[in-house]
Amino acid sequence: MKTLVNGIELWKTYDLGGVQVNALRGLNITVDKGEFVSIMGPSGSGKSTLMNMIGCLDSPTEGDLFIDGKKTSDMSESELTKIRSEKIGFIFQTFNLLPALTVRDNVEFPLRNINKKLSKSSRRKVVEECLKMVGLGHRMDHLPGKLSGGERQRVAIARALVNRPKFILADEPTGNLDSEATENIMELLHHVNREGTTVIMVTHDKETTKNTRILRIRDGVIESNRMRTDSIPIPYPVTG
Amino acid sequence: MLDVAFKDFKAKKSRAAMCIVGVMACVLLIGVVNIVMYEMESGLKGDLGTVNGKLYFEQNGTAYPPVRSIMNEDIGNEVMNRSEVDAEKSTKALFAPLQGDSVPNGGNPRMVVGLTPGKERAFIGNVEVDGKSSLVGEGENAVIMGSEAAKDFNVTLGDTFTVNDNEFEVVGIMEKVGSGWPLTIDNSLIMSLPYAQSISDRPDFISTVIIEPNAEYSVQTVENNLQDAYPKYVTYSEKDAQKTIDENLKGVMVFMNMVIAMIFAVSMVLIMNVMMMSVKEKTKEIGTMRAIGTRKRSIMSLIIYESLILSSIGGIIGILLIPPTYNLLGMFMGATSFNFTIPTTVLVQVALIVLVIGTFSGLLPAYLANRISPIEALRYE
Ligand SMILES: Nc1ncnc2c1ncn2[C@@H]1O[C@H](COP(=O)(O)OP(=O)(O)O)[C@@H](O)[C@H]1O
Ligand SMILES: [Mg+2]
Repeated sequence: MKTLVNGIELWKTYDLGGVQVNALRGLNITVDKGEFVSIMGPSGSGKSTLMNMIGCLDSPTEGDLFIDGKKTSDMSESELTKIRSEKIGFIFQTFNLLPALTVRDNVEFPLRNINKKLSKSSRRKVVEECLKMVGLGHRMDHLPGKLSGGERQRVAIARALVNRPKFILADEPTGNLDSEATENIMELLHHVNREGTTVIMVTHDKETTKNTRILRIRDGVIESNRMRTDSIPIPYPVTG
Repeated sequence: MLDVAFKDFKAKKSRAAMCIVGVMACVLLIGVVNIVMYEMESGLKGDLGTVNGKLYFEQNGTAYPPVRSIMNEDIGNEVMNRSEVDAEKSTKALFAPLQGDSVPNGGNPRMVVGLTPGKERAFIGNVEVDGKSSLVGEGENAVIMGSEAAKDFNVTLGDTFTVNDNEFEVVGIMEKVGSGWPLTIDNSLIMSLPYAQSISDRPDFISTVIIEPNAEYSVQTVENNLQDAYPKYVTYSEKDAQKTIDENLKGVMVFMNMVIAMIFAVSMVLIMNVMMMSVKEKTKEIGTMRAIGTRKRSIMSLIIYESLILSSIGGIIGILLIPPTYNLLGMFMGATSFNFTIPTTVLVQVALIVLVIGTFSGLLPAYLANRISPIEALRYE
């Protein structure tokens, strides 16, 4: 299997007025193409720091990081921006949709960030496909403010997928959702994963880790790594 | 990013409205101040253009129109007979403001201009006249009316009208000379010198001699010769006209430009403030955009577009409101015609100002937006 993320001896040190805080302490991680990885661990253990690094938002203080075969640990800011736009889909705990734009425009937004020039009609088609896939074909011209939390997160998933990224990074995607919406989003993420997109997710909720590889982080290193296999989940119903 | 900027702008209507109203008011102020300056300058230039190539022989200081100057007609005859003076094209003249109860209210002062019949061109130059352009062969009460004066008295060619018990017969009406504010010539009632003297109660007196130098003399030479011959009198010529313009306008221009600079700064700070607020408010959104791969350059154009949209809308409304505002201003000042259009130079200037305000007031907020770290922005809930 092809390795998508490969972090070797990753250190992240913050300098807080002379006091050194080590958020990561020589952490090693590999994620293969097609995997669904859950990252768990207590608050302050370094989960977000690791996600930022894998997401090319931050660079390690020490250690090497390879994303899709490219060494990102010493890339410039604009090179990292390019990788983010082309290879990574982001999902946030607070959805982070752009409130002034309709659902359709929100999903279309990442298409602006890539150099590939698509015609207006093919952009429209790609956007509509993604929205139908997350079951929101009927909400395309709504503003995000009119949607429920679960629906907003589904829009965010459509937005994360529109550029056909190599992997999706989700930092507590269900942290702000009720249990029904949580289940719905997890089914959707597994559906996306079965379609071939790698998913890396931070979570606090054991329920959401079914059928994923669970990495436990403590004090900036990986403490345990195990596969969790549950009953085959119900396939995500394709609507819209 | 222009479309996104426009949607952002629409999503924040009240703040945008506040900003637009501010810029609109600023543009309106700058525009009106500019036009007042423009009109003043072109008005004065037009008025004083009558003087070009000529000399006004005056007393009591130099001015145009020479209403404060008064001299005995004999002096005028003497001057007219000098060899430097082209007697055919020069004339004695009396300038006297028309006063009294029966003069229509408002507008500019009407000016009685008495000239020797046949020498009207010394004053009116090449201005086109509807009807007779000469008083020769007309009745003693014949007048050639300036365009504004004709409008004020509501008279047309062939009409007779009475002011202060004096009757006038309109034999000619001049086309309008001033483009904006009416000039002295537009407000004048040109009549024969004797009639002007009699209705103004100044028998045997004149204000000035309008001198066209003989071909072999320069204006300067005539001026020097006259100065030597009549030390108590003065001459008013083109260079004095320029001085008058400069003196009249200099102080005003400096003041007006200061006002413009101030208004300019205010509207710039206004938009900048609103945009900074907007950037601060949108920290999380901008952080999200950066996180999902939007380049810094795009964020920068987003902010600058938004500030350009704000300033352009304010600017366009402001420009549209300039003519009515200016007309209203004119109405309070007693103007009678309202067919005002913005001079192109002023329009270009205001449009440029709007563009500069929009771009520059977006720069600092755009810089701040670019400094937003996606990590920090996403952490901040
Ligand atoms: N920008 C920063 N400056 C200083 N310390 C930081 C910064 N970001 C994270 N940390 C510290 O690094 C450690 C790991 O943080 P984080 O990765 O956010 O943990 P988690 O997401 O697992 O809760 C914490 O002790 C946190 O206080
Ligand atoms: Mg965290």
